[in-house]
Amino acid sequence: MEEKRPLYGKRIILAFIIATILFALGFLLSYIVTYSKYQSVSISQGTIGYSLLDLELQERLITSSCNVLGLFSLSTELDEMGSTMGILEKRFGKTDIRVLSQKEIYSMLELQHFLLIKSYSEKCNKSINSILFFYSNEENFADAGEKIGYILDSLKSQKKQVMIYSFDYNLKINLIELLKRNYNITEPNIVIINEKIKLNNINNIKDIQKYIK
Amino acid sequence: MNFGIKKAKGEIIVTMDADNIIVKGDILKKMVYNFNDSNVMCIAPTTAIYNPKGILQRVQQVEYLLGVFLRKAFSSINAIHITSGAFSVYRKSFFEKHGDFDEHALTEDMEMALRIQYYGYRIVNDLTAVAYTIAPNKFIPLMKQRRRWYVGLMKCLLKYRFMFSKKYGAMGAIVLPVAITTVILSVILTFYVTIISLSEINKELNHLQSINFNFANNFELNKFVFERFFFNIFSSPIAYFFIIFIFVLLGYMFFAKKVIKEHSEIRLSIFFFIFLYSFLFAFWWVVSFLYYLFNRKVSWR
Repeated sequence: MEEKRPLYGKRIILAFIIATILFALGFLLSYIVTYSKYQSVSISQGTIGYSLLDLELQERLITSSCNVLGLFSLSTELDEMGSTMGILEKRFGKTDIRVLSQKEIYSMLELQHFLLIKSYSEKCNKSINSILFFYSNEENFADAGEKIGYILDSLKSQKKQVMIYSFDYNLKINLIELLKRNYNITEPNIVIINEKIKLNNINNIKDIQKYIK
Repeated sequence: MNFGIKKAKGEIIVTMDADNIIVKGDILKKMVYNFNDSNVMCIAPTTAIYNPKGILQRVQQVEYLLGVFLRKAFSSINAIHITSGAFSVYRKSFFEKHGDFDEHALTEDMEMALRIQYYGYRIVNDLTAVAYTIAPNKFIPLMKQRRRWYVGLMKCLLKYRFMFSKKYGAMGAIVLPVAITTVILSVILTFYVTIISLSEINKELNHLQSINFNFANNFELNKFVFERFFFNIFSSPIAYFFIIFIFVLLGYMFFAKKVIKEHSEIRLSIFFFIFLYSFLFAFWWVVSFLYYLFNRKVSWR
């Protein structure tokens, strides 16, 4: 039997189209979820910016009571935003312009809060622990950075009064460069506790806990 | 079987394995109508697992129900390349013209299916004819069965390798190449996902160790933890591929159950299938490939 056999092209193309639509649907839905989160992070950044301005004004008006409303809760909001941005970075890619611009704003907000806390504790004679963490998403440093991030998250859940600020070591903005110079940071995954103690090679929560007042 | 074919006086040959059960008596009557098309040389029935019990039989139940849809899909583009040993119906004239079952083939039914396709005839699937088979319920017998099937399939495909061509229609140009690619990708993907998962678990344990984890003290669940967990999952396309896969699987099951008029509960079987089948499938294929590669003797039992 040497007759030409049909390829059933229409049916095959239809099956291919259905499969492609299903795949595209998967990508589309995940993009919608990620993008809506990205938008909500952008909105939150605006809200936090206003809150910080409010706190700054409150702090300037401090005379005797030292009762600055919302100073500590804002730190938690910043931590949560940092964590969400980590996922956005994974989804959009670390070189994505949207992620980079959000990280720049986030770093500025963190720094603003850090300076506010510093000024507040000096003015009101309070002892507030602060931790600056310089992480990197570069392949050689990402795993160790993730582990330190995990340790710091745990520390924060145990001691809400510890203020943790994470900065991307590789983010090319003047503020981070200045911070790196101030604290003599020459490599990623360094933790600065209370602006005095510089730690690298952190493997356990105890490595940090002993310096926390 | 060849002895029987030679002795047979009728025009139709029906094959059966020792572990097959035919529940409905009029099945053959329904099937032979397909021979109205003179080009049809074989009618493949719809096969299902008889009274599945235990995890392995339940996994196979879903696998066979999936096969109901696939066989129908292949039939619609004349690409059936495997006929079941259970109640496949042949024209005797084909054996007379093109020879009996290959006694050297491990999977003589597969060899016969490819031979029918090679000579340009058709194999059709009859959805109304349901043949049941008693599936292995222990790991080793099941592995031996699959090892024989898969090594047999590899040998048959090697023998008919020239059929991977447009000349042999949709089967040669699309179905066979896609089938092989699917097997290879499934095995690689299963190993990849397993290695990644183990490495993630190891990383998580390492992290938990680094904070001297204690459930009572450290486990804090709040709204944000939940939000982050769900965002992490649902911002990845893989989550949606998995959901789509479940829906497609359920669609296939619905179709198959309707066809074979099966009313038994299969939710538990689907659960076992989703979590176990890819591991079993990869394992069977790796074992079979090694047997094939080192030319080891493959026994029937």
